[in-house]
Amino acid sequence: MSALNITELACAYDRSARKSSATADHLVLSGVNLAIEDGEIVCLLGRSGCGKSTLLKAIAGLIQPVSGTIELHGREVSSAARVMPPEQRGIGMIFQDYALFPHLTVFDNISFGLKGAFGQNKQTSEQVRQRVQDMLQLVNLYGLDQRYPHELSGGQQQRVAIARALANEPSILLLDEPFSNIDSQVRQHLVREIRDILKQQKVAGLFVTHSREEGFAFADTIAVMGQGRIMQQGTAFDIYHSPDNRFIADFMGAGNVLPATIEDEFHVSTPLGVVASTQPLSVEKAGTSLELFIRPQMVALSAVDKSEGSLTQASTDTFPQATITRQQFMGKSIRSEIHLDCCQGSYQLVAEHANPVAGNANVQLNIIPHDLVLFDADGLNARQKEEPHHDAQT
Amino acid sequence: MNHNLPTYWRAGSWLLALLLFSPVIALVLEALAPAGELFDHLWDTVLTTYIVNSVLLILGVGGLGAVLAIPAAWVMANARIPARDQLQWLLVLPLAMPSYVIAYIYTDLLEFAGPVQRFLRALTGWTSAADYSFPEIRSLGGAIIVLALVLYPYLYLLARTAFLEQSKSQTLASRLLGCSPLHSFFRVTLPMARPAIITGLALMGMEALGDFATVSYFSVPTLTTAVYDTWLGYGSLNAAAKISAMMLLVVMLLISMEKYSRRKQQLYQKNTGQEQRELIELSGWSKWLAIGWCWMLVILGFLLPSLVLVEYLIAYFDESWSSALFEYGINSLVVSGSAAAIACFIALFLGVYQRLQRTSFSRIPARLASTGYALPGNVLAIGVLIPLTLSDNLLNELLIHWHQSPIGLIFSGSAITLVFAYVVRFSAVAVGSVESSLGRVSPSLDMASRTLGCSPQEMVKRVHLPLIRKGMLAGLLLVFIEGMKELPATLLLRPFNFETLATRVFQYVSDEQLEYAAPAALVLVLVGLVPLIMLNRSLERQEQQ
Repeated sequence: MSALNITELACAYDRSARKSSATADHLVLSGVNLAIEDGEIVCLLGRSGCGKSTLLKAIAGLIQPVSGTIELHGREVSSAARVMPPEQRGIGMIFQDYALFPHLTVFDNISFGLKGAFGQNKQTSEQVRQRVQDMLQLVNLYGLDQRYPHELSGGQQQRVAIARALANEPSILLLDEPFSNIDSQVRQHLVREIRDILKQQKVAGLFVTHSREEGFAFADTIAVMGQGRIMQQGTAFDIYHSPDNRFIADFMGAGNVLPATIEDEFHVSTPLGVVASTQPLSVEKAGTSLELFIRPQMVALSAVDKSEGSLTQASTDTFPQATITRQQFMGKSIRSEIHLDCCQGSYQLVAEHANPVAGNANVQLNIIPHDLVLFDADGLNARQKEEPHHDAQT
Repeated sequence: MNHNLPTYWRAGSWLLALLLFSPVIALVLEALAPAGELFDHLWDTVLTTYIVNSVLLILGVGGLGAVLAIPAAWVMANARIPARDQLQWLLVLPLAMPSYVIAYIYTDLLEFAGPVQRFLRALTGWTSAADYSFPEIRSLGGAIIVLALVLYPYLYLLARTAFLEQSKSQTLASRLLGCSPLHSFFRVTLPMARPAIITGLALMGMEALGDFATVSYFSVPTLTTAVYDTWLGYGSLNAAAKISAMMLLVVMLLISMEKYSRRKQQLYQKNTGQEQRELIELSGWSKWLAIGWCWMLVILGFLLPSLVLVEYLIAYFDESWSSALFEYGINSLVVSGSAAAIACFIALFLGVYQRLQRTSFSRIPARLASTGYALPGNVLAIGVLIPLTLSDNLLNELLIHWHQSPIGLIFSGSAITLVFAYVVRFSAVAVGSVESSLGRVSPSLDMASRTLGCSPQEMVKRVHLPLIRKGMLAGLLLVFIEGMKELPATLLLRPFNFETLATRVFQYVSDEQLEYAAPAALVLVLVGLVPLIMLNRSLERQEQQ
């Protein structure tokens, strides 16, 4: 059973829009579909203002949807008719500012949800103590239970927040940009550690961020959000290498764009020449003008020996020659900006490669054959899909 | 960076500071002197009652103030109600209302011959006081209600800011951990605002402790009235100083409470400021309760009394509009104006000293000069009297010694006393104002001007003064206004037949003739509104950021 199931959710911020018939302009979210399985961690990736926070608020029960439903473990918790209050949902949430209670010790923070006169799950103080100790052990903060939040570092505070949320045994954990206030040196480590904790506790998680790297490291699958809806959901690898549209392609990382037309099932022609694909292309689009999207690491460079004008044996195709205008050492790779003048105009390309090419040299460009990404005039992926693309651009 | 100020500046700073601190020293010394007969007698008889009354007054004003202010503060911080923008500042206005004016007006309305009881009698057919019981407003309870009505804005302002600065995510976290909205308020929202609330309560407590006019009008004997009786009635400076010292102890207790919670508050409030506030939509009875509560405070604390004053003004205009009014007005202006100018000069002197002389002691003069603000007016008056009387006596003895004729009490018997007292009491306002505007001047400007060839004095004149002019003006205005409103110290220290607007209004209140002092009272109210408007502006600016 899904831990979370969102169907055709639409939300508006404006009060008047929520009351009267809402027009599409007022909607912050529209037609959002999202499912998270038990124990799965999904990353909601999007720029600020794309509706991520609104979606989280809707799941937490702070916003009433205009239409659509939200289900937690098969139980409907939000619809246009009814919104279950946050305290009855059994959701855990981790905040960007940690949201620890400054007037309470670490112990009292973690036991906050376990204590008090709130019905059925009243526990003995011994049980509470034990649970808190277990949680401290889990997040590696054993022995700090009498500290106050302001006596802890940012990373420690975030761990307390995790412990506090998990102590309540939530059915799903919402994480709202949880690492953005953490030092970049500790961030990667903390991301891995918290992912391990969630996996160990078998808690489903919805992780919201604008950082690709965090999303890649933390989540099982990624849902890219833009313009108030979920544009594509899948593994990070799939989204990176076969994005559904130009927006996603750009958002997942830089790329080169060249005009292209499909020649046959495995070849497209570009101003650079013919580029080969490892996967079959949709031949029915042949003849229409498309855009070829090439990641920088798929552009191979080789130096041209000027005196002889001959090619090294690596590139036997008829790609034209180009000039490197700038090279930048990035650590793992070298980034080169390339200027290319050829038959139909001039092009600026970016390539990433492991080995340096002699500066300012004339180079031979070579597109490594791969699963090519082509976009049509609407910016949609021109690949033939198994299922029809129903949430087309409006 | 340390700039070497000339010796006169450094020595002058300490001298000024000590001069402003001398009343406190004098008071403590006098209080430590062996007790006279009068004090022993008071101690054996009525002093316990006075202490109990003062304590009950502080607790009562604090308790009632909390009940009035905290719900209003929460509503204004979190809920969307009609006229919210207007209510936000209307709720602060009662601070401008002199408590004795409110006391008088409510007594007028609620006493046996007043309209409320007349209406009740007409309604029920009761004829005399024996037929029914109606709470007596001239009582400790009445004083608590009146003071809470004019003092609650202190708590309202602080609590509202605290609620506003709380991160929404903390409330949400508590909801997701199983709290209902009400539980969330008591387990998270309120405890997190606790430091601000305690600070507000401490401020209210200090004002309530120092109140003379209301308790005196209601004939409730407290430590404050005791100071008056012992000095003005019995002429015993020793007993007055001893009782003042007792009040000083209470003040110190309240201040340490305030300081402690302010420190905690910094830990509690560190809003990231990234989220925008979403106001809660109230509905049904809760909406009307919220609206009613806020308007009740505004009406009872400000609108109704103001209307009554305006009515007095119209009805008794011919009798009350006299040339004497202008004389008192000019007295007030001159005394407060000179005090404001002197206080500002001192503030600049000490502020610059503190900024340019970065030693571990250089902060002390400004702090010493600010102590007066914490003293209740009458305590300060007694403190001021001691050194001034001493210098008068000394001067006259010297003159006699030199075979000159004595010149009398030139310090303690003239309006100079009042100016000195106001400077001691309100310098803190100017010092604070100058300090905060100097604080906003970047230290790199100092380095820039010095490297460009300015001497320290030149730098103060060419760089600092132009930059802090606004802050100094604000300080000047605030000290002036405080001086205009000052009553308890003025009553004790004014020369014979010297009246200010405040003492005049209080005189008329005591004589049950406020109707004839309506213009003066309205002037006091209007003058009191000025700092509130300034405060409100700066709060709005803060919120916009």
